[in-house]
Amino acid sequence: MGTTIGPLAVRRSVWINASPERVWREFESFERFAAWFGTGHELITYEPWEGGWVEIDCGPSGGKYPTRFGGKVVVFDPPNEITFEDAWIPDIGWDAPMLLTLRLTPHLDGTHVELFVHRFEGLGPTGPDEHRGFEGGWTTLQLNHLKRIVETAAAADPA
Amino acid sequence: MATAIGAINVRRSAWIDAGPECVWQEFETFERFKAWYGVGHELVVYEPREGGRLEFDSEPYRFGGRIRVFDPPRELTFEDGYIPRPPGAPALLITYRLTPHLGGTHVEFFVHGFEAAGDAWPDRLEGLEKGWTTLQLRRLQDIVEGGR
Repeated sequence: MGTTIGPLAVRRSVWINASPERVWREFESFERFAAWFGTGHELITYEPWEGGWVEIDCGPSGGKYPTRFGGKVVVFDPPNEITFEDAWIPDIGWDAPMLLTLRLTPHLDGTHVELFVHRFEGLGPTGPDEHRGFEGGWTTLQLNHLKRIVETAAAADPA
Repeated sequence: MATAIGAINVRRSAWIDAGPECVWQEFETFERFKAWYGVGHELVVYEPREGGRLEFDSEPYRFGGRIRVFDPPRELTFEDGYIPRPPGAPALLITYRLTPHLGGTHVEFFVHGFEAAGDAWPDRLEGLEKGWTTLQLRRLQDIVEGGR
């Protein structure tokens, strides 16, 4: 069963003209994951297994937050889902980390890929304000890079 | 019963520190709706009732259609198509859903109905997922929480 996504969540999505097994290849190694998830920010660590570690450097944010975020991989379920903890590094005092989930679902002979940032309710009193900031900040940059990589490769090698 | 939202949709959301009945006041008249929904594009028509019309200009196009669901204080759903509508281009739907949550209101915005919108729907999804921001939701939150 997939990770439960609560009401207060950021969601972005893309449909990719390939099977989930094919899309999942881009989650299997640091190099492949960095090629798309590492756009717009820098992927520092990616250990693709349950219990592994994910760390991203997003550069200076004007002093309010640290420059790095990430945490432990809590779900690694090929080709369905990866979920990792999403907290600032070092910790800024949230009650619990958010989670970032990438979910792959077969749909209309392709794959519906959803990115969720969720569990804002668990952060503490600042949860709703944090949600507002993250909902305004996340784009489809990484998902569109994933789509281009997979569909370009499929066009070059249909077999 | 709430409008079903299909798997393929664009979603944005905001939590507002007020009850749904209070938030819904900003859906009740043209002037109040325009104060937040009319930012970033121009609200031209808003008839707040089931079967009413909703039209907005986003240069160089006009969009909108019939209001399908007007269910205070829970949901507004209206057609989101080109006006005039080209042949073979079914309208998408826009749904605003208000749900009590954490002592306030979780307001969700959905664009949906892509799968019925013709063969170019993956491109439309990509364009709208990239294009829709939280501008209107933030303005709604600011109005409700900050007073008019």
